Amino acid sequence: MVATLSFALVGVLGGRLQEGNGGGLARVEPGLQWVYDGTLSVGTTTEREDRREFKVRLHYLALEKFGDRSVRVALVQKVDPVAGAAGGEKRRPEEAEGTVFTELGPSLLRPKPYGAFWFKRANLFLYLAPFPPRDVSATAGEWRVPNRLFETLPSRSNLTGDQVWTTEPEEGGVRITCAPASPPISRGEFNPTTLEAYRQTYIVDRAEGLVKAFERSWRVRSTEEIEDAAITLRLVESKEMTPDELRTRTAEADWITTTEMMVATEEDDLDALVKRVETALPRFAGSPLRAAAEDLRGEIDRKIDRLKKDRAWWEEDRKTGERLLGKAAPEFTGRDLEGNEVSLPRLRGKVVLLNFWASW
Amino acid sequence: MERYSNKGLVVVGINCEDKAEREARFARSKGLSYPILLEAKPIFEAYGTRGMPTNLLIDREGIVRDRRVANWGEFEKRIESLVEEKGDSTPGRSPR
Repeated sequence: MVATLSFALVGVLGGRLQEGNGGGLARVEPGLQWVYDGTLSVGTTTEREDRREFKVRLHYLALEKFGDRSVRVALVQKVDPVAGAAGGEKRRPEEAEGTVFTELGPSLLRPKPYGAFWFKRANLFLYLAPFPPRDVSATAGEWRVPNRLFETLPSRSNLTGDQVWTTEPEEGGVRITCAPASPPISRGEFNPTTLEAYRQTYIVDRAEGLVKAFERSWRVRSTEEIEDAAITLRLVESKEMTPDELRTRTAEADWITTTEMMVATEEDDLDALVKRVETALPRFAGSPLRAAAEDLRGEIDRKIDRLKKDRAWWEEDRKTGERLLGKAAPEFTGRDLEGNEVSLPRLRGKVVLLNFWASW
Repeated sequence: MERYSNKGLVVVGINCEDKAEREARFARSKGLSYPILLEAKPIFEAYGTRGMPTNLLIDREGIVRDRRVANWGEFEKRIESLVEEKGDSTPGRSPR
């Protein structure tokens, strides 16, 4: 579960994720190991690979900063009012502003679209917090979260069958507790509000999986397992696949997902990826996933192109920096908003900070 | 930035957009008090600025001492070391 403090601005330039003004690490309150608070702003992400890259980069940001896979990333989505007014298209106009919350983290590695990406343009508020590991005994605990992030979530969440999460509003935030469910929660205790919360946030697979898992008294331990359960059940029940086929397809899909992630994140040894894909392609000969596997090859080429452009861009920027550093600053005189003259030569004797900015 | 201005730091905002006046006034209404130059393409070109935001530090002798795209945290340290340098302690005045 997650929490936040104040926001800090982080920008994405041309799809690049960058920490910007004021982004920082924060640790607050003993017991609540706050590791980062910040805001991410993502530009127009209409391309499928851009969206995927953004997701994976978020995850890497978490890993890079904290080196701990138990850190989860949560995104709260807010419509950018400026972009909205300028025609930023909303794919789900019924979605209310600022209330959608989705927890990413390990699920970032899954190819499913989550709510956070329904908008072509939106501000994504990023919160990173250590997420308790899945081992039940280790998850028991209490967190005080100084915000209202969870006010829309149910007060008692029986999500996993092994744990009971409760969230209680308190002044200035919310208190979250997690305790092992003992005995495990039975279907009778299933909390329909949880289901409704999922439905409302369009995580339909989770909602269905939750229902079916509880109907069968399955003990699933995570939302990922619930989703998998839903997909498995749907395929087998509809007799679309035999269990053997399902296993094969699952393995293939896993390979594709893993490779997609490698393509999205690898920046140095793309040749190895080309080899990986080309070696594997024959195995997909009779598979319905063949096209997806073949598409990876094209994706690597697009990635190589993009990286070349990126590198050229930064190289150019670096050279500009080198050319300027240690030299006399180019002089200029201009008029500010109020029509007053601003002249660099006349500022001699002062330390001057030039802040080049744009609203885009 | 206020906290460095009494140590001789002057901030100048530079915007290259054609019609940024509305945005700039918005920035002003949000409390950005330093002077902002609008439609300043020639200045962008003179400094080869492409990425946003770019921050550039000029010392008391008019020499460029640092330049960074984004990455504010590092930059702030540089501001600190530069305003402490060669202690001209007269408060930064507005460049007007």
